[in-house]
Amino acid sequence: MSATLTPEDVEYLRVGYRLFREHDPAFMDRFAPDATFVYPTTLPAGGIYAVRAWPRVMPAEASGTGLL
Amino acid sequence: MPGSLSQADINYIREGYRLFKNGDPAFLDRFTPDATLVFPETLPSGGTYNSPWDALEYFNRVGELFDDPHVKPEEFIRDGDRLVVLGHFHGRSRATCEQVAIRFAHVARLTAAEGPLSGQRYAAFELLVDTAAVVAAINGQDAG
Repeated sequence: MSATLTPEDVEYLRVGYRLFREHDPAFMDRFAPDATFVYPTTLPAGGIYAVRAWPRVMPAEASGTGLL
Repeated sequence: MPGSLSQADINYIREGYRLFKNGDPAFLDRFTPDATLVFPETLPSGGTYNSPWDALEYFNRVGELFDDPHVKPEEFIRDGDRLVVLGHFHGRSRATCEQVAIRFAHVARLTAAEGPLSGQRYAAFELLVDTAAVVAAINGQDAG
């Protein structure tokens, strides 16, 4: 339980993760157009990405690879 | 704002890391005697410890594997009794002489949800870190 986030805030976060799990591209709308994604460089395809490079992180045909 | 951090709180956190860097066992006083400390199992001496003194096994191992091991805290986030510190672990691998700077997250549970940190202790602590990078530095293998 959070002291500063409302239950509605927490639910909003959970929905975002559910969208990702269900491969719903709507989860991308949670990010600013110029958002930066940083993944450990020790992971396959790790590195720094911009939203516009997202297909490199999760190709449309990829399912459940869980790189996020 | 309830649960937020004051500059005095941040200074208190930084002082704790300074104690660790200086090898001063007083940094253990930041924890409750029965605090749970969790380090990734994949690191040398990693695992779950049930007191800060037990966790000395892990801290000492870090000192065996790295010269001048220390952490630089950079971001501080508090939400009630949760405290998250983001930063980089620095040290020179004794095996490879490689100087490393590895991103970490320290997640702690405080003894109270409000009030200055100087009056509280860590009841639980967990280290989240790029363990592959740490192991690579120790073993001299390319983790990438």
